[in-house]
Formats: sequence, structure tokens, C-alpha cells
Amino acid sequence: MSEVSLENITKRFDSTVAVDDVSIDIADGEVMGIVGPSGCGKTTALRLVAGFETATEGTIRYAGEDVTHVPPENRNVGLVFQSYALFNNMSVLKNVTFGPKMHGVGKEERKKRAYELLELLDIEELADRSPQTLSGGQQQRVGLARALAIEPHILLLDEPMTGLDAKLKQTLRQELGELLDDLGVTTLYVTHDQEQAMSMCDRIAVMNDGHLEQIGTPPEIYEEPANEFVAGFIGTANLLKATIRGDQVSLGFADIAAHKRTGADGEVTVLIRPDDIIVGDGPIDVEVTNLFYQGEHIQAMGSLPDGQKMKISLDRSLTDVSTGDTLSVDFDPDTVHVIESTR
Amino acid sequence: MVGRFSEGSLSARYGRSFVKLVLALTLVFLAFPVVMTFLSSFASDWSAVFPTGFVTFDHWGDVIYGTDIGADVAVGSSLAYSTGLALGGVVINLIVGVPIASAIARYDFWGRDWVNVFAILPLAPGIILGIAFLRTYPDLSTSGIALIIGYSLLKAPYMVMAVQSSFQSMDLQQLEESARSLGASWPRTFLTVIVPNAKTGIIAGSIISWTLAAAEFNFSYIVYSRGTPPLAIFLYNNITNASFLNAAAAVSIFFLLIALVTISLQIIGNRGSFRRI
Repeated sequence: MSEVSLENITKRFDSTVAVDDVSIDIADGEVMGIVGPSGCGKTTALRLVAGFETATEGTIRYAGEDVTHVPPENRNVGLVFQSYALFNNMSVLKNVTFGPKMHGVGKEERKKRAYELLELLDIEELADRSPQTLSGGQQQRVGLARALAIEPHILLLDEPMTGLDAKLKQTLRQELGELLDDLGVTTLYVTHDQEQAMSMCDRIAVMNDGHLEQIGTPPEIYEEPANEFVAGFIGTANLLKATIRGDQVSLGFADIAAHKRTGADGEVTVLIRPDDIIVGDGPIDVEVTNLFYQGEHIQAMGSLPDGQKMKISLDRSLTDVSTGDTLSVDFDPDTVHVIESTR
Repeated sequence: MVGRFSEGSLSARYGRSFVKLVLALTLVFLAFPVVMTFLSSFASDWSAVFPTGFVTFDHWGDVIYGTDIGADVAVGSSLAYSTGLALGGVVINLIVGVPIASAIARYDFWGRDWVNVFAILPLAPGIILGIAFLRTYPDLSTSGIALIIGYSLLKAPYMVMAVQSSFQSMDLQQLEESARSLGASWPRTFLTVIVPNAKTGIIAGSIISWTLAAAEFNFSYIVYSRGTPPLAIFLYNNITNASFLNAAAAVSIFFLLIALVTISLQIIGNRGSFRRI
């Protein structure tokens, strides 16, 4: 039985449908990510799970129990916001003991629990400080300790790293990922940053315009996107218009093979990831129109014979490539993903 | 080039000095009557340009002990009465104004703009509100309750605006939702998280509405009918007769009281603040 399930959830605000018939099952101890662009309904979905919004249709269950109409204070969810929303009128310690106190935990027990969490998050020396004197990273840890202190059914993280700088974000992403793995706490992680979701979540639900587009593990979502939206939103994608017959894909100017497909013949979209493109001796010529040095690799923007654009990830060693050059490229049939239909 | 820079620098230096001088003169001009009133409360006579016959504590004694002031009641009684009435007004404003300010800042409800307008509407002159009050509640005018309610109404906008400004500077929704997700009921969230976080605005609003209410004249003049007069009425009634220096002592005590209340509230406001590094 899933720890938390959203069953055919629809949420309407007047005539706007924020969440449209979404079903997600989150297993015990699983870290589930919801990703999507701004306004896709991911935060509404989180607020529905927390109890701050009530579903117009559908059911939300915690361990099988219907909690659709249970108020948030009785749901036992740990919530960490983008702004952390720490209580500045209380010390760090009091922030962390606030939840257990509301749940009737005795003074000594809640203090012990708070210190354990502060120690786990390596911020025990901040116990007596005011939250407003802490850095963004420290505040995030306090927010996390406060949410975990109530031993929640589910931990809800709403864009908790958005305000942080890139380097800190990278460090915290790793730390948070390890922490969630260690604690085994069921987590719903909402973010617009697909890279964060890919590295931290066991599974990812991709939402767009209130709909659930696809749900799967990070490799499934990346390598076998269900549609053009998912292909384009997750990672960098080359989406090419093509016609397919059997496993032969005709791009118009060249034919390539695609092994992994199940659909009917006809018009399709072909997904080829930039880092899957083999540069060297190949049947397709790409004229380089721009080059972007990105440290770990070079991103080349190119033009195919029919004018379609193509992004290619080049090895840093290919320093002799310059704008205007023509690259001969090839594709491994296993990495050519055919998207059968678009919504 | 060097010339241009030094010219600019000299100009900036003289400009700043000039501004400082104008500010200092304005401050002295504004503060002078207050200082003179305070000083005259220790003088035995102020019939010439400046008070004379320093230093006497008779007027302070008269005010504090209520002796021989040439008025129907002791100034001290008026002062205490006004202080109490203003405090009553502040308490009502805290009970009513803080939740209204919170609701306006937090929720997007039907008629929110109108509630906002009505919360600020009593900024109408006290004299108008006083007449309206008498017409609407004629039976209340003989009691202090009328003055308390009137002060609260008149000064509510200062409380609402100060507190609203505090609420608007924080993320009220996320604070409230964090507390509720941790198991706090809505009333508990409001009292233990939301209100303490708006402490600065609440204290500022209390100080402003209390001081303005304690010295309110127009509304008091219209509504007050008998019994101990509020301080402003007492001062008006006795300002031109011999008890002026007693009135000066009463006003001085009022100044000190305001200073004391303000400092106390600020100390309360700072209590619970944490070490900042």
C-alpha cells in the first residue's frame, strides 16, 4: 500500500483548472519529485497533499486512510518552503521544538529530539540563535529540522533551494539527497529545476498545464519521455520532425535507424540527446553555427541540411572545431527515441 | 579635471552644512515651545517674555497631590483619567485592529478593499466623529465609555496601518501554513507566531494611538459632558487663568509619561530579540 496517494485529483479555482485528474502513488520512504514549468499545478498538488487546498474531485490517502478533508494541522506533514518561513520570534531550538510541542510531546523529549536533529544536520551550535541571523543554507537546515521534528507522514519540500547560489545549491542537493536516503522519510519534492529532481528523487512526475504528463524514474523520464513536452522539459533535447517505417526513420535528407519503438508508421518526432550524438564519420552533415564553452563540455549549435537546428555536446578535446565548420555525425539506433504522437 | 572634482566636493560640503543648519534651526523652532513649557513648570511666574522665579516644585506638587490649582478638579486626576481612557482605546484597537490588519494583509476576500477603507476612514476630524457619535449614541456621552470607544475609533487607523505594514513585510501565508502543518490550530498560530512576528508594528501602533488619544481635544470637547475632564479639556479650560503653570506641569508630566511608555514598550519590543552576529 502506498504511503501517500493522490487518486484522480482535480482542483479548480473558479474556471481555472489547476490540477486535472492527477494520480500519483508515493511509496513508503520514496522521494517523489514533481517538476514542471511555472503555473503547471505542481505547487497546488503539494498544497492539496498538505491540506491547504481541498480537492474539487478525487481522494488523497495517507497509508490508505482518506485525508481529503482533514485540516492541515491534523495531517502530520513536514513542510519546507522556498522562504523557509522560520519563526523569527523564536530561537532555532524553539523553532524545532514547536511542532513536537503542538503534538503534545513532553519538554525533555522534544528538546532531546530537536538536539538530535540539529546534530544530524550539523547545526547544533545554532540552537540559541535567531533564524534571521542565519545564512540561507543554515536557514534551510533549520527548516528541515523543524519539519522532521514532528516525524511526519510525508515531508513536503516546495522549491527549498530556489534562493540559494549555485555552489551552495550543489552542496545542499547532495547533502539533502543523502539525508533523505538515510532517514527513509517519504518525501514529495516540488521544483521547477529538473536537474535537482533528477539527482535527488527516486521517481519524478512531470506536470504541464495541470496534467500529469509522465511519471517514472529519472532514467525512464530522460531516456524514454512519453511526449515532446517531457522530452523538451527534461534535459536538453533535439526534437526532429521525421517519418517512420518499421525501424527506419526518414529525416528527409537522411535515413537513420531507431531500434526501440512500438507504434505505427507515419509522422513522428525523433528525440536525440546532444550527448548521444557521435561526432566523426557519419552520414549526416551539421554546419556549426555557434559554440558555447561550458567547462565540462562544449555545446555546439548546428544546422541540419533541411534547416532544422541541432545541439551537439562536444568533448573538450575538440578545440579545433569552429563556427562555420561542418561536422559529420551519426546516431546509435538505441539512443534514437521515437515519440509517436503529440498531445 | 582636478578643478572640477574639487569644485564638486566643496559644493557638496557647503550644501551639507547648509542643510544641517536649516534642520537644526527648524528643530529648535519646533522644540522651543515644548522646552519652554517644561522649564516654566519650575518657574513661579510667566507673565513676561520668559518665565521667572526658578526653581519651584509647587506646580508639580499641585499636579501630583491635587492641591490649590484654582480648578474644579486636580490636573493629576485629569491626566490619570486621560491616560486610562487612551489605554482603553489602545486595548480595543489591539483586539480589533490587529486581526483586521492581518486579514487585509493575508487574505484576498470579497470586500477587502472596503474593509481597508473603513479601517482608515476614522481619520476624519475628531470634531465630525464626535458630533456623529453624539447623534448616534446620545446616551453614551455621559460616561467615559464614549470617550474610550471614540478614541479607539479615531486612532484605529494608526494601529491598523502600522500593524498592516509589519504584516506586509513578512510572508504571512507561508508562516501561517508552516505553523499549521506543524500541528498548531489557527488561533494558536495567530497568537504564537503571527502576532509576535508583527511585534514592531504593534508596538509602534500602540505608542502612536495611545499618545494621540491621550491628548485628543476635538472629540473630547464634543463628547465630554461632566465629571473629571480629559487632560485636553482641563488644559483648555484653565489655559488662560492663573493655573497655566500648573497646566505646564501637567503637560510636562504628560511628556515624561509618553517618554516612559515609549521607552518601556521599546524595551518590551527588544526583549526576546536574539543575539545578532
